[in-house]
Amino acid sequence: MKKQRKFYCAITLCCCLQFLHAQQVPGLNKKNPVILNGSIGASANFYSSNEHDTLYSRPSFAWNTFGNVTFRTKNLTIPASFVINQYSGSKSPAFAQYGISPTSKWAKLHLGYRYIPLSPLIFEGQSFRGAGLELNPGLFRFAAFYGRLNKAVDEDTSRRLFTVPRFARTGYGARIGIGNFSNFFDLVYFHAKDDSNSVSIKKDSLLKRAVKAQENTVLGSSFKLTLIKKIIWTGDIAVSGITHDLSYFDIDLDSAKLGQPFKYIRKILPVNASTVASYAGQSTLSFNSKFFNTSIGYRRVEPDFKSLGTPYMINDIELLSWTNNAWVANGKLNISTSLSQQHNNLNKKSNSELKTLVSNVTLNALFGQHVNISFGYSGYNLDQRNGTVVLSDSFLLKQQISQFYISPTWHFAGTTKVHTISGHVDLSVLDDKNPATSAFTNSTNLSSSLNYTLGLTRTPINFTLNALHNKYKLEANTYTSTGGTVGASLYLLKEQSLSLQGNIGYLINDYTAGEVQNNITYSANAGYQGKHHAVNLYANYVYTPENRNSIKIIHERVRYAVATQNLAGGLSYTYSF
Amino acid sequence: MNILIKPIIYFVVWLLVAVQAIHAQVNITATAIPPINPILTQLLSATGSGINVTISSLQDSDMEIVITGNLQRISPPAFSITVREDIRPDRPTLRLSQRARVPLTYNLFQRAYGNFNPDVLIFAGISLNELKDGLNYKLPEGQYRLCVRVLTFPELRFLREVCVNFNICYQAAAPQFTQPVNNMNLNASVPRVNPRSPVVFTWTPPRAICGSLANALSSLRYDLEIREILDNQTVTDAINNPFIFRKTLLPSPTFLLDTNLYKNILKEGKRYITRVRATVIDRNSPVVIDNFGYSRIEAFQYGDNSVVQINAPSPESFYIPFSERKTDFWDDALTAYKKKERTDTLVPIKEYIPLILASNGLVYSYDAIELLLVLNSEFYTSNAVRLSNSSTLPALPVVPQNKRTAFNSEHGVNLQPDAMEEITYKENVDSFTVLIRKQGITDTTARKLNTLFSQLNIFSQNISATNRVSMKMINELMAELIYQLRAYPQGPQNQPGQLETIVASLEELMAVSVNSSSSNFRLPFKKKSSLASFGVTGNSSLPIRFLPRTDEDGLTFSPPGMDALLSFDIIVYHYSKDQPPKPLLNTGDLTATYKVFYITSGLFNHKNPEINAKASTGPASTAQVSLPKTRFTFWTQSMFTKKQSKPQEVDLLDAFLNSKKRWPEPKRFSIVLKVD
Repeated sequence: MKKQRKFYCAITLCCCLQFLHAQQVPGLNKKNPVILNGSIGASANFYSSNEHDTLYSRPSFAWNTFGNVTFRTKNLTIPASFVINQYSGSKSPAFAQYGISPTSKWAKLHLGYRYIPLSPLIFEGQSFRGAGLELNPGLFRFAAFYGRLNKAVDEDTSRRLFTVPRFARTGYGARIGIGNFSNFFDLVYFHAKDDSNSVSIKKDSLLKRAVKAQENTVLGSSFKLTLIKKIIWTGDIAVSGITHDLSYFDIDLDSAKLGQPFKYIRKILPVNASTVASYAGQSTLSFNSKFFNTSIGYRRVEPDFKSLGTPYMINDIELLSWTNNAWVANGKLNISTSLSQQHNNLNKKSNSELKTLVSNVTLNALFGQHVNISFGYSGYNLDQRNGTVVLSDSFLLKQQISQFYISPTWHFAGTTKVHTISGHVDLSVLDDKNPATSAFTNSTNLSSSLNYTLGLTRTPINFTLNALHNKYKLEANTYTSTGGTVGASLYLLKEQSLSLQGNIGYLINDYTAGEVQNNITYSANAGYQGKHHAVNLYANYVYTPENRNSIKIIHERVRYAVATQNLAGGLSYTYSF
Repeated sequence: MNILIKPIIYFVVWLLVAVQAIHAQVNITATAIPPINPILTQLLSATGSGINVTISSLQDSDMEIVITGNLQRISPPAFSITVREDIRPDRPTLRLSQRARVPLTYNLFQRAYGNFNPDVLIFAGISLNELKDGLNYKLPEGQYRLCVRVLTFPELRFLREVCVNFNICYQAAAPQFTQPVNNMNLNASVPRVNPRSPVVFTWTPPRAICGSLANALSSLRYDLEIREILDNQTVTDAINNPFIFRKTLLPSPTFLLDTNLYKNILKEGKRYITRVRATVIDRNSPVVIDNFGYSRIEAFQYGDNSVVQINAPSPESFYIPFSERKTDFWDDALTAYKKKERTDTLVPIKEYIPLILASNGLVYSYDAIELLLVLNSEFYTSNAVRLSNSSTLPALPVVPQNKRTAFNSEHGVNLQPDAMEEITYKENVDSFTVLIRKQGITDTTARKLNTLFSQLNIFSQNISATNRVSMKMINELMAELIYQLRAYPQGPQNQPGQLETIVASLEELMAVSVNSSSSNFRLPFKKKSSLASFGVTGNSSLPIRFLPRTDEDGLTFSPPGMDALLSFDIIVYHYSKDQPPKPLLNTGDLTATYKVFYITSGLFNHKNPEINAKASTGPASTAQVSLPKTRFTFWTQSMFTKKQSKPQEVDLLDAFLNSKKRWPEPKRFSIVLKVD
């Protein structure tokens, strides 16, 4: 069966390749110039600190190389790319990703690590290593791929970095439809299966119980409808069958009442007692005009819905969202709003239900030619309610998170100087309505800064001055940080292609629950941007007088503060052609 | 009495032994290893988590048994599912081999429960339909007891029963990001995060664990990580990249990334993924979080792209060279339509764009075309539009009145001749006269130089009536020409044909630089001009008759053609970082940050654009320039980042000729330039 499926896939791909080849030949001749452009580069970064290396916020060493090259002739475009990277602490070999996608008119062939999105509920955000094909002649829409979706990852027995073991996974999918970018209807199919012998997990490991080889088939459809160029209606629906554990008990489908739904899907998915089926759908309706856009969206993901072709998706949720964007006063005032409500416990099986309401307003206003102001508010209301049982109030999660910010900016240009003054105030408050938990969850964070930049028009030098004051209150304790930085940028060489930047900062810190140290920051950056070559070099150093108590306090209570001495640096080079 | 007691004791002992013997035929063990899967088909497990029931035969011969059971929820509100005792099964559930040890599989469990046929089950407090959860059957959360009973077949004699208590506790949903990426948004595009310090990361705590996670909140810890998405990578690919930032054991679902302390982590224009993992540090906690505690991987872009990707075709594909453009024809058609002298008609998009730009005073250029295309996306897909079409036009920033007045004075001075430039011109002509006799000049070049020489002599008679701006440009071109001739034939090899370009530029500039009260606009071109759409060749002239008018500021100014210099407003624009991006022309940074450079196209040096280039006196969008009606190359530079925009050629004569039909109500000329 497996061999037969592979054989069919191979035949299909061969036919498609032959077809693509036949289409390209007439366009290729010696007269057509070949254009080659792209970029290739590499970078390396290091980090060192006087804290234990398991607490490092960056890898002590990391490198990567990358390249994107596109060959173009009159009838054929061949983009190719590669990425190779590695970092200290990684238990996997260097990660290498490469691929090529020859494109000719309406046909595109994918080889290597490539990506063909099929549907947001079925296959999206996931690349494959294999072969794929996209054909869009006229109103016909077709895409298909076959390849490896996951590389096997063994259990990390060193426990330095938590890694979930992962089985090698192979998958294939196809989309067939009719339409164009504005209006289309697609049918989508996706299948993936883990290789159950590809991973080694220790017998006594807790992960042994949790990590199982799986197999999944998803069927669905997507559509988009555009009316009078201004109204767009989109929709996606998917039905998924997933066998969570390929080694699980068999199920007698013929006599099982509970197995009834699987009678229909066993033809496309091996079914056992760990197989579950579920569905999900989403739709948006948008109106777009020159001055006003609005969109209403709805998503419902039934419990246990899962597609192995998408990144993890929270299921058992129903979401309704409404977003608006308007430009008024001749475009000088932009107003954006959004409102989303989500709840779980769709089938009322759970003891409780969580309702989440998210609201957001953003204003961006221009006052004359020199001043603009941004203002924003975001509110998050988490409200857990009784489900199948009546729960004590002290068990329920009831939180209101509010965040406000305002950012004014003032520009003024003279004949020799350009001045920019900007400020930013951000206030975020978490109000826990549950008295049993509020003591350790309530928080108030205030961040404010004032920045001044002076640009000299006749000499390539800029100066910056930055003052800041941050106040973070969690539980009964407050951490305050006040300070500033001064810096300068210098642009050298003929076309100011060499830039040198540096700044020094000093932060005075205070914590009500213990002694903390002040920070001194140093930062330097050099960059060269030529027509073909770009080089960037940076180094940052944070100095904090060593104090073990301070380190302990920061580590346990104020994780966003820095109590260590650390040095970070990096070098990158890119050649563009 | 004692006589009675003894037999009774014997009987009881016999009974116990007998019962023990019967019971001893099978043994059942049952253990519940949490977490227990609530889906009925996955309640049992042979290995790993779940309910593990094993039936062992203690006999030396095979036996047939019937398995029945009772599933009860103890709390909250109790319910039970029991196999009816009055129904005799027609076959055994299992044939147990001698000394065999058989795990209770799902199929056996199903058979024990009469294949979940409602006719053989007693549902108390619940129905089978209520167990249905979508397409699956699922136990509600609660505390349960499962009893498995083994009977002999066909006698249905009780052999053994074992019960096991367990908890059904749905997995907690993994954390869900609310900032900087709101996961509760159906928009598929990657959101942009404004660069500022601190960057706030917040997420919802895991929720809905047996109705109360509240007690477990204090024992939750979070690990936050950020990784860069490289080109051609998906969000799941990026998980393999090195983390660029990680913070472990965070006690609350918030992290403030202070970019003053954590520098060079987030870089503007780059895309990143972030995810958080919630863990329960209390090992005895029953809490199990979905997806091993990992949130969905969320992608975001930090700050603006250095180059905003516009979903519009390139303006080059809409550009028509002057010689092929029929703007004059379509302009007549538009005028006739407005006067109701003709009916509406379709105009090809490529022709409509210069027509609509010209009628609004915008100089035809790649940047102006792109701006119009982005504002009118329907142009991408249409081949033609009607004359009556109402297009969206850019709202140009208004130049303040004081700047306008100051510039008008400056413009008046620019129109005056300059004696020093006249002297320089004469010296240049003398040098040129000597150099054209230089040996080794090819015949073709010599012919061009001789023609130019004749024109210079004619022009010499008018230099006292030539404005200082044009004279300065002519002198600069002359100086460059002399430099080229001195080096001839070696000359600078990096710009082949530059000598011819300079000669052509000089000819054009001399043709348009003389202030004249003549009603004829003379175009002394020998070769076919780029203005061929007007049928101009050789020493042809365009009959253009205008009357002076007074503008809205009360200032009287001459019609175009009479002054050799025209005034232009220079407007810059860039795109907003919204999706889809919108062109912005009136923001504070645009009016204060970008300086404009320009140079006659004949002198533009591709390798060193700044040589001889002129800069506007003020920043763009309030900048105004007085320039002769010839071709210029314009570009801009950010005074903060010092980045230069791509130079582009602008034909000012084109703008002037297209404005003639709108006199005496012409629009003010504007040159629009896109800045990076």
